[in-house]
Amino acid sequence: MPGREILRIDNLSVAFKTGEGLRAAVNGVSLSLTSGEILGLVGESGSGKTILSLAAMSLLPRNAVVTSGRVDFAGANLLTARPDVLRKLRGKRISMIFQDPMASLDPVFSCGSQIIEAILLHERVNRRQAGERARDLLARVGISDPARCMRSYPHELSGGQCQRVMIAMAVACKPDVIIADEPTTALDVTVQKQVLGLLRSLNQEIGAAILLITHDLGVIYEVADRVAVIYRGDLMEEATTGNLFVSPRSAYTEALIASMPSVSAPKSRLPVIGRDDRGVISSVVEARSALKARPSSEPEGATLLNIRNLTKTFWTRESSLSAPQAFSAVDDVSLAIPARSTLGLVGESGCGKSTLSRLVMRLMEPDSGSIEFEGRDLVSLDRDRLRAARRDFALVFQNPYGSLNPRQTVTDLIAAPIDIHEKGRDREATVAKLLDAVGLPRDAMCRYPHEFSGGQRQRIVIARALALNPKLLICDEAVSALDVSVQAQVLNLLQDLQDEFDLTYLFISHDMSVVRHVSDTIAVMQKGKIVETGPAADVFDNPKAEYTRTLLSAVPKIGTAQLTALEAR
Amino acid sequence: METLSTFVITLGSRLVTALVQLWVIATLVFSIMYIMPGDPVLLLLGPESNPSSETVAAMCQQLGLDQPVLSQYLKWLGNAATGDLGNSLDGVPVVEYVTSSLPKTIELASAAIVLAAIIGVPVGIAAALRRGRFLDGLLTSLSTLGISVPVYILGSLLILLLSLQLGWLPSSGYTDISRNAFLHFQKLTLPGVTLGLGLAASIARMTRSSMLEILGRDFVRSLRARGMRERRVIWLHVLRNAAIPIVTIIGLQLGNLMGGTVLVEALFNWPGLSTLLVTAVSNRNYPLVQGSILTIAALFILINLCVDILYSLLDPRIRRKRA
Amino acid sequence: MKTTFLFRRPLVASSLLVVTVVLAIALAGPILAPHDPLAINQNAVNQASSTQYLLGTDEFGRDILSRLLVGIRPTILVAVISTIIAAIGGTACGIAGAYSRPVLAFFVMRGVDIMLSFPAILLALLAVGFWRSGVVSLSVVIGIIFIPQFARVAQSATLQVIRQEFVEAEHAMGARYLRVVLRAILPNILSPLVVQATLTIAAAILLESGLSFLGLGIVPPEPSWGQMIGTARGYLSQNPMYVVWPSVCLALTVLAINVLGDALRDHLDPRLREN
Repeated sequence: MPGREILRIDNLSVAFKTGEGLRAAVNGVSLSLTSGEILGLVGESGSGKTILSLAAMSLLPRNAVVTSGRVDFAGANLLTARPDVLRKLRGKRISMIFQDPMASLDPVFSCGSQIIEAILLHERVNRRQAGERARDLLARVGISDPARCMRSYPHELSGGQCQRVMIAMAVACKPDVIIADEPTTALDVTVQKQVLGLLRSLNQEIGAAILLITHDLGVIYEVADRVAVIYRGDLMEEATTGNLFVSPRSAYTEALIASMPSVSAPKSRLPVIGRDDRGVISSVVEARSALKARPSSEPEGATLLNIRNLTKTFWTRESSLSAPQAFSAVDDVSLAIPARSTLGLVGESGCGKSTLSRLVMRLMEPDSGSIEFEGRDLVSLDRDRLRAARRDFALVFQNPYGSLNPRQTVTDLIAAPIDIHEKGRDREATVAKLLDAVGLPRDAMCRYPHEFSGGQRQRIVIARALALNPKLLICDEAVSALDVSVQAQVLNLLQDLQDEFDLTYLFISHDMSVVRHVSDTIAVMQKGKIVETGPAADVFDNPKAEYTRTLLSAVPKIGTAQLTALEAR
Repeated sequence: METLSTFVITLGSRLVTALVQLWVIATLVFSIMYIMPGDPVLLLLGPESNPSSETVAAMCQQLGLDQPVLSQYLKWLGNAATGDLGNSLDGVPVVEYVTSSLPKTIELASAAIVLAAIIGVPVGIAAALRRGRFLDGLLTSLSTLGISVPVYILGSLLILLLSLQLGWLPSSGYTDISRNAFLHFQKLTLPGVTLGLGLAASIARMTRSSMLEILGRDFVRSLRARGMRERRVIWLHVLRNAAIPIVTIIGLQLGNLMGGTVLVEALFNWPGLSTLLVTAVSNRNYPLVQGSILTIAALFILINLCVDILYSLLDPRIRRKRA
Repeated sequence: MKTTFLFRRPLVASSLLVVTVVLAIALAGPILAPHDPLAINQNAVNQASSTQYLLGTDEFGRDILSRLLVGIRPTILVAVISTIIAAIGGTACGIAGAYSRPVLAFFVMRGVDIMLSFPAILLALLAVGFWRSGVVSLSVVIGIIFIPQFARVAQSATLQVIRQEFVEAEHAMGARYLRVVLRAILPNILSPLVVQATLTIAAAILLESGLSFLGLGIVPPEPSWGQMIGTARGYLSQNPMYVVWPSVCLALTVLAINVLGDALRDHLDPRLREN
């Protein structure tokens, strides 16, 4: 398709209305989308990428306003167009796919009626024809039973299926432009691969240009033709995908790419994004703060945690009429973690890895099996001894916003284990030392969680986990909710702390590249079972299990092989 | 087929819950006489009378009070289930009193809730759609005023204005519809409007907040992104989603409704069930009190049951799957 | 910050003023009354406003203004005490209903449901009718009647809180039940509870005055606004202002409390607006 400019965003600025006036979200960004291409818009959270896309469609929320600029599409300025003009364009010539698929569908209407409605809005067909077209579309987007899907309500479908329904609606009228805002962020990595493949094939079939918004550089690498990088409302760089990764022009892009775990050697120190006093961004490899020398890569020491044949079953029912069915969340799992090493546990959502972590922490009772910690069986301990045993292991949670009590000061938060087990002895001194260890300033002690960013909060959570000098730290998706650059900082911190405090980690994540980076050994989990274990390098380079291979191939990767293919285009 | 059986199961479980609730209240009602200070017989004979011990003994035997409490309870429960609520202190069967006054209360309550829904729901929707603008401010202020003014104050002021000053409507009493239909409805107007306006204010406030909550949801944005007319977005999709909480709200107002009838019936001398209850309480007419409460409770539970069923019919998430 | 909050919204400021005045009068009590509220004057029955009796007299020739001023106190006392009872009892039940042994939780919440399934005024009617009237008994009865509403609010707020990861973190650290309730749950459910408290105070005032209106709450000769309106009903044609004065005072007070409650809710948690 000949490249003619189809969507032009010109010097667009958007701001939020706050109690103290306007706060800029997007500063004079200009983008141009050529017909038939896939343009990736990449940025971290708070960079303004979503607001930019909403502004382009004139769908801004009440508290946001466009302060300047224009958006030219199909001969009209979308920002100032009359409502009826806008209505005719939306859904027909330009459509949008949102991040949370289930929330984007009307819960009280069936999916079929919504797709038909979307078709009838713009096409002159009767209801029956619209229904046929809807079924065809559903089949095209990969729904295995279109008729059943049509009859279903959104809550009866999975996230991936809902997103396919959304995509079906978006392409129903063969638009010229599709804006996809983080379409795969809420999905598993294998489903993500399918959805991205679907978008790519639709792009080729219909010739619709796609503006793909994401925070994941790997996705950009695999799918996008061109990339625009946005940081704090400013457009940093715009280039073809190949050029961007091989020779990024902006320092931010360079630093962003460098801080991705997949481009660094495993277990090495990740570069982070540094901003000096003048605001200049650069990629920085921070000096190691620990004094101890890094021990050899061979994990020494006895097995710290030995899990044997652990099983946990949940009983669920489809409806109140059908018989309760057993759902094996954890099915005969056996793992061993040597002291002072890191075991990475990787799997998709629903595979049981969170349940496993809760079982090890004894927050749930296993149905059978044993958990041996330093030779002692945890399962058989009575309540008091268990409480005492809790000093030795700690859990670091995924959500930095939910895992800290908003009404407690940082001191209270970090000293909580000391208050519980040692009646608060020496809490101030210990808290101060812990803050130093995690790299937070001492004046944080009397502040509240909401005053800190996501990465800083996660440091507070880690400090709390270390309060009683535990031996085992379970990190359950500890960096999954963080931006790539912040993730790099926290991963470095975890590595430093492991050396400094002789810690053992059980690192749980769905993100393969992160797991590869931090682990000595890896276990792959699927549907409650461990399908493969082994040293990290072995599992990644020579996967033996079928599922491991599927998982590895689904991960969007930045690699030289694919790079040359793109350059050749 | 799955839908039908799920529905039946849901209906069944709600019915069971309702019966349990009724039973609990019936038991509490029964025990009123026994936990009240004083001898039940003396209470029944009346506080003023000073009966001799023979009279007391005879009464005791006649009423079966000399039997063990448990058998009395079971007998009473059995009678109540078959519709025999005993006799009031003046000898007239309680059921007679109840059946003559119950329809009047139902009529008043129905008129009020219909009026309240007709006024309150559109007001709430209008305020939500014009959020932040003058109309919203006006309607919200009126609604706040409406829930603050006690129903008997509103009634008294309406009587003052419409009945005494302007003479448009009668201020109290009841006329049977068979005798004079026009006068009957005239007498229904003031009490109905009084009760209805206060409820309308509550319904308006809650409708507004439900609408706002739904308008802020993601799927509304998606609908607009597909090029849907704003009118269709609001009137077909948003409203259909709002129907669920609005029905819940109206159902919840039934508590206020029953409370309101007590006051409104007293204010307007409307001879309904609540007036019966108040008079019975003032006179310590225990059998009548028990019968009235049981009837009111049964009515209440029945209405809640209907609202529950309606709610589950409207929300496919409940209808199709037990989340 | 607080002062700008008030100045930007004159409605809220004036409501605060009204409530303060009402509280002050309630505290000051009979001192402010120009006449003895119980003093009968056969010669000045059902009079309209005059220089001697600023707001007129009632059917016994008693000064309406004095009775209004004195009548605040029992109403406010009942409202405040019953709200405290309801808050403490309701919060305990609500937390127990959401976060305790399943058997206990089940029975607590079924009990709450059953009580909620019955209109408040009927329960109050029965309790007061069979027990006795007066400030203490009214406070206890109304307090107990409003426990279920508090329990509902406390329960749903607690359910939201215990779903958060920081509560799981407390368990992971080995915290005991009491620590979780006092440190993690209570501080985080305060906002909806405070809002519910203002709603309950308004509702308690309405309930008490409703009962007094029916002749079952604060009984004569003690004055109470609801009671005065109930009696004034019989004299609407002779002395219309007799019903107007207490009505206006009562409506204004409840309105002020509701406005403050709304403003408090908006301020404490913007997500909880107008429910």
